[in-house]
Amino acid sequence: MTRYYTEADLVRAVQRQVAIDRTYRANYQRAVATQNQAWLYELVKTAVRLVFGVVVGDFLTVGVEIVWEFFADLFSD
Amino acid sequence: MQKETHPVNVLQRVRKIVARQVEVETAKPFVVSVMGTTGTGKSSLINALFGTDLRTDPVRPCTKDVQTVRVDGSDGSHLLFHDLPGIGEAGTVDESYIAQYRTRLLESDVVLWAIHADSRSVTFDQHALDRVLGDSPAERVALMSRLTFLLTKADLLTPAPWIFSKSGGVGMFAAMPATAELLAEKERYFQDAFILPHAADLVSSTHHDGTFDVSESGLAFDQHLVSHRGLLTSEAAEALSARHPRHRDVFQRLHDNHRVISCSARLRFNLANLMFVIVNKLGPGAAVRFQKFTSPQGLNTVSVETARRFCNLVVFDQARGKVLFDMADQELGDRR
Repeated sequence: MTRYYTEADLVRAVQRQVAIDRTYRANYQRAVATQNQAWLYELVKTAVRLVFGVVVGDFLTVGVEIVWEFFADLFSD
Repeated sequence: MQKETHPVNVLQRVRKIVARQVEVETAKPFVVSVMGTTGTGKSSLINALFGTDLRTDPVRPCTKDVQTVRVDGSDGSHLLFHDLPGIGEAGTVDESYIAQYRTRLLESDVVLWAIHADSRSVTFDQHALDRVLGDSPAERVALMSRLTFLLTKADLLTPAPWIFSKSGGVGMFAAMPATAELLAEKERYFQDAFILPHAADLVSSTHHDGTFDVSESGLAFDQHLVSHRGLLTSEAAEALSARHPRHRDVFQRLHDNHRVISCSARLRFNLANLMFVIVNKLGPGAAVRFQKFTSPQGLNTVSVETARRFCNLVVFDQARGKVLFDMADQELGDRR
């Protein structure tokens, strides 16, 4: 299954990764600007990604517990 | 614990957190850490990958202590290199020393672990890896998912000739079949030694084309990225590809993310392949900063003039006191 990636593959990967980063950041800015129903979800998702790393679906690279700890004070006095 | 019920307060606080993080992210340097015992060619590798000019010395070790080098970019951004010698190389180390290593690695965008390709001993590096990973499950996942293990100085592995594939005044080095096979075998051996024991701590991520929709154990995705928890073996990646052939390239990248990669800074061998894996492991926002310090084009390219210096056979006739053959003088199409 192993593949050796070329310089052309690398150039495409960098461009795509940069585009994804910019999209996540734009999502945050749009969420703030529009204040629609989904913006809390978008904000939390962006915050988690920026603070902890990649978040995909229900798990992320550092584990759910640490994220809960970080946000727990938002929901308590 | 009483829940905060006013949604506006919650939103304001989340918004502040995000705004602060975006600010921090934008101002952050791009940080690269390289670990490895003396003589594994850490500085040379960084020079080859990022075009820096870190000091190298073929005789005396340049890096006995942790060193941090700052490289300033033209637009005010900067790059930090943490050059980390092998743990315990300079004597006994205590837990606070290990914690310093861990902190540096956790704050890094790229973490490379260099092992000399000619090495067959894994115990020293395995012990160092166990100590650096520590006991915190979250930190173990963060570190293992970011680490890339390298077999450096592949050009010194065997005396077998290397192929210089020339096009005009430049070319690229490739291994002869026997060397390529040996390198692949070594990569598997070191993967079994360093990555397999920590498979549960791995998360591999990669981009997709926006159409990924596979719901299988260990896989998760959003509109841009796919992640896999655990080590995606070659067999498992093949099985997924057979069931979902449209996403074969995604499974391939998820598998390739945690390969051990052999390379040579001197021959610029396999550097684009290594950089591809590094890019797949960049955290959020890091790709924008990464782009400022790298030039993917020409990463594997060596000029004919440089390649000529690697020609290494001279036949000297003692009786006649005369050089009969000098490989460096051979016609490579770059001289008139």
